[in-house]
Amino acid sequence: MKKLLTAALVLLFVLAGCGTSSNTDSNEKLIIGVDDTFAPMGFRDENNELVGFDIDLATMIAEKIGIEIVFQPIDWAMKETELNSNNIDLIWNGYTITDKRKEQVNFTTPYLENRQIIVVLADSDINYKADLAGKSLSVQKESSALEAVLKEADLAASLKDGAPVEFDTNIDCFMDLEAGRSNAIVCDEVLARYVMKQRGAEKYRVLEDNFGEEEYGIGVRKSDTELLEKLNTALKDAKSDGSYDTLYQKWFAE
Amino acid sequence: MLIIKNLSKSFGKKKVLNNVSFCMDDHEIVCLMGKSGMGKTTLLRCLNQLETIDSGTIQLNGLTLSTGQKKDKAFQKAVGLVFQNYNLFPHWTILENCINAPVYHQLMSKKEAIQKAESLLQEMQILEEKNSYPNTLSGGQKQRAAIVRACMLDPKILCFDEPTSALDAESARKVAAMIKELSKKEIGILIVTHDEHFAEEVSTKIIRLDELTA
Amino acid sequence: MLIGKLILPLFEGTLVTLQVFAITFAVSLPLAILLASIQAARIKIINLFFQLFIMIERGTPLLLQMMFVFFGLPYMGVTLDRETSIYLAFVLNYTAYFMEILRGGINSVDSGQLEACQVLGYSRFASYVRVILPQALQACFPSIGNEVLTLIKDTSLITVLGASELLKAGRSAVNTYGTAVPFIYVGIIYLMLTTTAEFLLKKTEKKMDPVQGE
Repeated sequence: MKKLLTAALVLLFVLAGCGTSSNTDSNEKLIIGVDDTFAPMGFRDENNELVGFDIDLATMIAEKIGIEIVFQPIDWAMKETELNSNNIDLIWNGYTITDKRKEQVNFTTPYLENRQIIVVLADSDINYKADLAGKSLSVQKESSALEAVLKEADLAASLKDGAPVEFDTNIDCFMDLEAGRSNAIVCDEVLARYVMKQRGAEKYRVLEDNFGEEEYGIGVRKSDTELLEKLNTALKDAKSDGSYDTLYQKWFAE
Repeated sequence: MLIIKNLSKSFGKKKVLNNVSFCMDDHEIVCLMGKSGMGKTTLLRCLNQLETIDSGTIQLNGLTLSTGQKKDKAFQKAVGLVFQNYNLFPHWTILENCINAPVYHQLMSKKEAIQKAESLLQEMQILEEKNSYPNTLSGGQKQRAAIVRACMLDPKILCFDEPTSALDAESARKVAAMIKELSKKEIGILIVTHDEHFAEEVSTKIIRLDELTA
Repeated sequence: MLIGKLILPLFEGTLVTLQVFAITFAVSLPLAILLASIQAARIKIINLFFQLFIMIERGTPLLLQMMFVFFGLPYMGVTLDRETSIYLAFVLNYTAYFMEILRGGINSVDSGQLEACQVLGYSRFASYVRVILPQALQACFPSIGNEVLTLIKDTSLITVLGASELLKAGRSAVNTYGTAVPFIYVGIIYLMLTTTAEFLLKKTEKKMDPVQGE
């Protein structure tokens, strides 16, 4: 009994000890916050290794700058909090540049273009944005898709229940669409095309209307201006020397 | 020799024991009788230091309990109590119930304790139940186990609180016989009961609390 | 085959789930026993502190507590890393729940047990450790078992701090392969974990029960 208690207390202190010590050495490396459930930008392969377009790109850019990086999976809803409490140094995982986010973080120059597309089932009677009135529309919570929909306030208000339905992940949205509860979803094109390919592209239809074009950028802490510049230079190099294109072909070519 | 002098005890405003005095010898079997609410059980509890004394003294072989003193360990050890509902420890076997206290007090080794317990359990005719747990025993068996548990510490006075309350007539006779046997070992027996038959059969002296109270 | 691609990620997720479960349980239950024992000593100021602690821990969501430890404490100058934050939040939360369960268990032990200890001359500490606590643990074992199952499932909350446990591994696979099938496997693994835990709990409960145990 006594032994057990002592062991427990020792364990508690050891845990606390580990905590404080490991914080210091992680300062030397750049910690990149990623959503490791976000295919094809960052996700786990069958070996449970982190892979994806952004993962490859970040590794390449880091090499160019000559810094060491580590990837830290985070809860995507907490990303800005993670960044501003210094738990991570960069948000780099299909991070769409928006005005609202610009208030909290600095963005690098865009490195990938993206649209917020509207996906419906192939046999849906929804053909235009206007048809969404009174329908159930789902989006990922805390996502730029949500922001894009809310920006069109009249349209958002005309939806069933006066607002889009928010799910944890985009896959939840797709599954809800297939289950017939949602009538349409709004989603990053990059991700949507990937998911549709996985689930069978013939099941879906993408409307011509969309919720605007966007760009992906890397989120940097406002105070890290030097890092921002380094990243921008490296991105520019990558685009000009062709290494970026090679990567793009690897992940997005049909 | 147990001497109780002018013992008083109140709970709040209610005076339960009022100036009680009596004495008894080591070889006596005394039955303490009286209507319920007369403080019979309270007296036993004072004697076993489960309650403090308001005034008066209790003396036993040169040891004294009086008002406002801390627990007297020697006194405690000299008095044993068999509770009305026995209060055996349900997570221990009968044997463990009996040997753990003397071993804890380092009165004897575990081996000696087992020997002593087994011979007492034999006398009480429940040796075959030594490895059983209390909840599997009948009321009479539990009572006898509780007697052995108390006797393991060699008390000078052994108290019983309503020993026949949960027993049929046959078992009551049996326990009366066993109490008489015990008394031969120079253990004073003090029994709180309202069972006249039992008191007549077992006691060498009957004290009626209502006659003692001033 | 999808299942072939899922084996490793789900296995590693399960390991994280098990690790958080095991460490939380192994630390919080003994800690709760220690604290509940201190609480049972009824020292006013200390118990007031315990009440406040339990009120906060049980009165707010564990998810919020975790976020507070990780994101909130740095504002007060205490920066803990992810793992430490997870364990700290989980251990404190489960300690509070276990303490409440144990308090109930301790109170449920018949007061006669303590009196029996007193009469047999056990110290307060010995009475508690040898008689009261074992019975209290046995009495509240089913409730503790309940918490164990809840804990296994609660481990899924740690994704908020980015930890990749079983549910998240499943979610990740769902996103990667665009099908909900991984959720079925995740459910099956949780069921395997909880039924194993239940089996072990039942076995332990039987062992602890003196009547059924032998």
